[in-house]
Amino acid sequence: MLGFADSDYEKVRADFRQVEDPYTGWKIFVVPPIVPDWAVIHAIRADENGNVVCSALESDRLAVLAAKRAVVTVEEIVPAGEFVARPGEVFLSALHIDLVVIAPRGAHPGACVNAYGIDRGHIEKYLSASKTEEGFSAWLSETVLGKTEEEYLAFAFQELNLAGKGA
Amino acid sequence: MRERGHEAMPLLLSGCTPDEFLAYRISREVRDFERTAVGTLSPVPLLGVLHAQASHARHGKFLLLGSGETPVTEGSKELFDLAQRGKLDLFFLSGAQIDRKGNLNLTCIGPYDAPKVRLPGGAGSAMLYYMTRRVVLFTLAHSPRIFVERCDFVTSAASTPQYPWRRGGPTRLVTPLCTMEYDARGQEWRLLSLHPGVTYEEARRETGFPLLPESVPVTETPSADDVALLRARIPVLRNSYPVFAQALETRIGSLSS
Repeated sequence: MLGFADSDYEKVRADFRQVEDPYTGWKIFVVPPIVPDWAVIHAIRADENGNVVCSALESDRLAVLAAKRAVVTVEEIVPAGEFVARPGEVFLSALHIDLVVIAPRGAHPGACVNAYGIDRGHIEKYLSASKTEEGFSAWLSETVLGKTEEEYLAFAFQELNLAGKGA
Repeated sequence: MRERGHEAMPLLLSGCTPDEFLAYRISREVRDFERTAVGTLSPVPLLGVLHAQASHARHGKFLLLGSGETPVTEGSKELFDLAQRGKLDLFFLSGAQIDRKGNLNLTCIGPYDAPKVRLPGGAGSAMLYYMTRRVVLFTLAHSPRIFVERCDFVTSAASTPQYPWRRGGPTRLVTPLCTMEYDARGQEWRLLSLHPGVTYEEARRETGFPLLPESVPVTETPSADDVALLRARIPVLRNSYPVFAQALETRIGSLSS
């Protein structure tokens, strides 16, 4: 990694080590790789064979490749013959994935590339609710705890439609 | 705890808003035939770069994160890799603290182990500050809490004398009161211009490190054509920053009334 020189990362991150680059002789910082036990990402679609197309813009694919095990939730399953990555999307082979779960609107209240945007209204509600412990608990029981998948979906679709940001 | 935000600027402007004035100043830093990138949380730099792209930098290459203007396959990873390879010419950064020597703090206010405020973090700014040819800093407020003698935590170092192969670093600082120039030899900021209506005394009082020289020119104001061009770019800005674009249009509307 370039750029950690003379920053205070040197003082607080003992795992960032300075070594000599064997090729150039320059002093350079190296950082250990992150190896998550699990990666859980939400993707756009899968085919029947468990191959996936996910957002290219975040490091979702990289997280799956780095992790020991990976779960991918997807908006939908499409026939392998119609399975393509559009701009902003990237192919991720079933080879790297342990489990694919069909979860429409699974990124709500976040965005899913080419499917729906951020649910701003909900995020704002969450932000003001989470300012206090009580507010956060109320938000949690209103939207998450004790909700069935169907109830949450109905709620998420309603919010997305209200926001005018449906697919 | 009050800070002078850009809405409360003492700027004397006619025919444009402070945001447009600052965006125009940023546009002046963009050069033709270069690679320029704008990251996240940067509506004013984005507006400035969109202006430059449509005026004096038509041959430039632009990576505007989240705008859809320049599709890239891998988002921010592609920006970081481009900079690491030494191919990024201009980038924009800000900081919760910016110190006399040009260091940035995006990590924490107070001690690292017991911070008063934990900030979101550097997100690659240490590397971008080091590997981009020119980095222009911008802030939307100007106070002694931001412009400090020494950052509580140095997330991104402005100069690294023991690493002679550093590619670039800070060149300019654009604030709601003034512009500063980074003196790479002295490794500190020098006052470059004061915005219209701002006195030296005011800028000095709001800056937590010595500000010199005392006598500098007034920052250039955008022409009517430039203001028109900035406004013509707002629809593109809106794709990335709908809330900011809406607020800006409201302020523009109240200018003419």
